[in-house]
Amino acid sequence: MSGERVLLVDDEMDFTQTLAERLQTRGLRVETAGSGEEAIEKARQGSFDAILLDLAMPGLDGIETLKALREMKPNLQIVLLTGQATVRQSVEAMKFGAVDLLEKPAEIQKLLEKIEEASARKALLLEKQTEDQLADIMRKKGW
Amino acid sequence: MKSLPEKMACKKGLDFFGAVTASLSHEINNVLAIINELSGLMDDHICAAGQGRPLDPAKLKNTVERIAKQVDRGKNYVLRLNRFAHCVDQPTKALDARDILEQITTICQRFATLKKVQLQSIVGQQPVEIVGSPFDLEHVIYRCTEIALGVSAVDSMVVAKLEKTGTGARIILTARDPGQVNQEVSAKLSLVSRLVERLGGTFESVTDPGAEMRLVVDLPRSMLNGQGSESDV
Repeated sequence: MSGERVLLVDDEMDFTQTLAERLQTRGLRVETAGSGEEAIEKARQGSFDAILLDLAMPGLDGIETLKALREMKPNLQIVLLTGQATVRQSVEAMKFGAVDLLEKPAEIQKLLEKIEEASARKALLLEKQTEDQLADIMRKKGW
Repeated sequence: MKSLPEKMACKKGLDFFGAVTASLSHEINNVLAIINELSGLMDDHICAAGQGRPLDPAKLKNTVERIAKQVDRGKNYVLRLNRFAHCVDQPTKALDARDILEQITTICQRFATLKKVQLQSIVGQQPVEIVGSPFDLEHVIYRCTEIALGVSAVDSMVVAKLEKTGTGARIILTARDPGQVNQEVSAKLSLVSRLVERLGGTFESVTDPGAEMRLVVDLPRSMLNGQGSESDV
């Protein structure tokens, strides 16, 4: 991994702290948020290649957080990392823009793969956006 | 053949059983996820040591202590789940209502946390003995707690209090700053009313929007069983 920026969102602080430490030793830059509200604030201020989001949280739950994050930054790559999500929750999460779902406890290797995929997807989206913007400028200039 | 109300009561009982077991198994899963990360962290340290980085005994000790803490937490959830699962063993038994109230309010702590509401139980020093089905009593307390948590404002508190009365037991749940009683809450209140009636008790709810909601359950010392009890279905 090469310094991908990751935001871990879960109200179980012991979980986020430990996972953050493990991801950091593998070269990732990790921030944590203990609630949906905190995650939205951190995402507003920073740029993340992937967000790992729990579903069941006090206050804003995972789905509400997901909606707010995607509304604020549509390119955000959000992977759900949660305990047994119901089929209904999973479908709802995908509908609102989650790119993947992993069940807790998850193997670190699997998690790294998902982060890498999310990061690559974001890079592609940005590339596509830049190309579209350039094409738009060229069109307007009549080139 | 079961009558429609009996079928409904059975369905609601199953819903309650499902909600509690889902919540507790979710908590157990969270504990397992933390232990998974902590054991992974230890493995990372050992791998690093294999590559020549010295092991930090203080760090290892800290990780082991955190694992032990999670194991204790997990044992506690398993104990609660096990106690809850056994509440259907006997349709009727002599109960101390204090144990039942504390068991359910403890189980409901997660629901309260998710709603950002504090849940507190108050029981006296003396036993409050009643005879009946533990499951039925747990179900009634759970449904009242569900209503009280549902109407409570964020950062408020729900208090569940148990009193011994001349004829049995009284359970009072108080929610502060409740919103309006909508159709959904009304339906839940009538469910509790029906459940309590089946046990031979009475139920009363008083709501002053923005101020307080009080749910009062009066139960006889010997609760009805048999046809009136849903755990027999």
